[in-house]
Amino acid sequence: MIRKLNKAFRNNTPNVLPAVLAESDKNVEKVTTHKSNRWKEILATAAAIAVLIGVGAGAAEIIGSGFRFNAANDGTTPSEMIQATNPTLTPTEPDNDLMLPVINVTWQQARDLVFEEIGCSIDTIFSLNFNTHTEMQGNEPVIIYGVSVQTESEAYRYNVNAKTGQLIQYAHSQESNYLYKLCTQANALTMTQAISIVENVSGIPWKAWEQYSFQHDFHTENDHHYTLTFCDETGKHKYTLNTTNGTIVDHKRMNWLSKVKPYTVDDIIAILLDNYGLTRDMIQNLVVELDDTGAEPIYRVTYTAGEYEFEDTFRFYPFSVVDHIIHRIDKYDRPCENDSFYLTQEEEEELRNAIAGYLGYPSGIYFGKIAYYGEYNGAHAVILGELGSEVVTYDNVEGLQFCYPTDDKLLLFHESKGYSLKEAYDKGIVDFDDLYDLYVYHTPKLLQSMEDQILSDYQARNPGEKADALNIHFFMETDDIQLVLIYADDPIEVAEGSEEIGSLTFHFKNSLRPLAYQDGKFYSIRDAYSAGLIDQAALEMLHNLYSLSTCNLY
Amino acid sequence: MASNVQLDHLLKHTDDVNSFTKLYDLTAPGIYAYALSILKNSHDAEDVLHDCFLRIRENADGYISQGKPMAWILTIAKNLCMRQLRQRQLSSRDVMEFDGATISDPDERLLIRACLRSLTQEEQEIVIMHAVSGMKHRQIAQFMGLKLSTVLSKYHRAIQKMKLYMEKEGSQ
Repeated sequence: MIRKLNKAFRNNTPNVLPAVLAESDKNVEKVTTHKSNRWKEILATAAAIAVLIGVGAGAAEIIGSGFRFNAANDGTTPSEMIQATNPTLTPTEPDNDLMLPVINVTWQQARDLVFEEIGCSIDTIFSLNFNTHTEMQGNEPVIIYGVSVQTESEAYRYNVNAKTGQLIQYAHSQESNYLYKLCTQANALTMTQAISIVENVSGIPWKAWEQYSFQHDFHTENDHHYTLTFCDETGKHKYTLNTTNGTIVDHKRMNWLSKVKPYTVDDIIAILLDNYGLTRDMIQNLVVELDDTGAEPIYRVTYTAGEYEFEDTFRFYPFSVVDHIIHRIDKYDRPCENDSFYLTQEEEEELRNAIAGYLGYPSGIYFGKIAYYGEYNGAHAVILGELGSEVVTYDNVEGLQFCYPTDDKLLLFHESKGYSLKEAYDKGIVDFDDLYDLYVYHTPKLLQSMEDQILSDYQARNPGEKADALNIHFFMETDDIQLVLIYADDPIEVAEGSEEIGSLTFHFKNSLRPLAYQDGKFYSIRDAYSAGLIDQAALEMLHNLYSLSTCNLY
Repeated sequence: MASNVQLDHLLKHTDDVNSFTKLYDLTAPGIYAYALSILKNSHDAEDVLHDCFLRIRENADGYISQGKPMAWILTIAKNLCMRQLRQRQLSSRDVMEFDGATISDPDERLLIRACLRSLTQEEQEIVIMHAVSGMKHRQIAQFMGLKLSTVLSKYHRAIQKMKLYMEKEGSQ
């Protein structure tokens, strides 16, 4: 759209150059003016005002951390989640006494019951999927295993009662499996061979695999993948193998312990920390709610980390992660990640092809989760969703730190080629200004907890300052030192000046002097540099960022 | 899009007709679009475009490069636009709003209409400065006295608005 708009104005700009050249005379001081024919206006028609559809988006406010569950719960009424006033992350344990389902039949036994019923083996089926749900039979919760099996020409779905072992077939259909034939023709590994490879790599014997599922993914005629997913007592594993040579293409793991007892809130927090790349101080606004209104109890957990809000759903028993949803916190009223492309259909198609080429998927890829971050010097910035692990990761380029909720990072696509931020910068596809624009758009802020802490420490040392009138502008972090600018809504003194630090000249405006903050202490940039707390490279970066930012603060 | 270095060089050589012509080719659409977004009238915008290049040629000797040539040019254009608006007020002249009727290409007409009709004044200026004048968001923020994050936000929203407008109008 941008290129087209440029072209549209370019094609429809009147050519006044001959008139300008004719009229401009460097010896004549007075500027003469060319006037267009006003009568043409008569021909113009009045324009109707376009009605715009405004979409108001309200953001739910998350209440502060700390929680406890109500003491009484008879298993038929929902547990109320009560917010505690404790501002720190010290959750109390749930003291409710939920009835647990009885498990007499293991998942492996349920699977074998189904195989026996169908008359198949692990090597004669094409895919196997597994899920569980809990049904209330009277007041008693009963776990039901759902086992789906697909053979070359048939599909089955069975439910198995985990207490009694009763087997209920509720779906059976004839389905000619095209992929199965392709797989056979391609001399792919058998399922047993694939399992054997994963057994060796993981060190976990197949007999210990719980909730096992097997998928055959077809990318191109010569590119097939097996995806094996299973749980053991340590958590959930997902292995992706090349079907012909058995190479492990990808491995993801979610850690949790197989427990007979229900998970506590502390268990939930441990899982968050262990699996999502979070540290305890990164988790903000944590709310854990035990919801037993449905057939099976689940934990609903919401929290924020960085500029992202997470919503997790954990199955209560047997434990598993049901859902992991990420929202962008829209602090700056920016488009959220799920906004559609701001491109024309042709441009979007071009970008799709470039991304498919970059990923090596000639047959295309599903783009439902792609996040578009705009165009920077002709390069399109995107994050490809659904491909990475759900681990909070970082990207450091030229001192700018980008935070991501997964290990899918920003990529820049330019002239049908994809680049990481660093590659694009090193190759000159984008310059520092573009990078900085993208940085501000993507990762503009310090963690809220850190901002609050710095302002609190600053106010404690400057009692004359009103805390709620103070603002903080975060430049960068280096070696656990935050380089910030703290400024009041109304500057007390207005003074400008320059200071030479490390061969660089800082032009300070309105006394807006950046500070270095570390462990509750503040340092002037000169002192921090002299003491070796920040090095020359960091100083140069700060110099750039400072001159970019201060002009916009007042 | 022209680079700042290229525009700086051309501004220093406006005496040379070839350089001045090149400068005109590179910047005229941005100036015209910017003036059109403020004045809403193609003839007034054309006048501003004309006067702006006269001023540039007259004053280029005094131009001091600060790495922001397009901002300097648009400042001249903005001042001329303000003068036009003041003259309009003084003369109580009614102005016919630009509707793109003279644009022959229907796609281009729709696109320019989308820009001028679906966006607020501020959004129009941001989109035009970026898309037509080739200014970076940071430069636009400095020029307009807005925070960079505000410019980025408004820019992306504006593009979405234009897209919606075009989908709606295009389907009619």
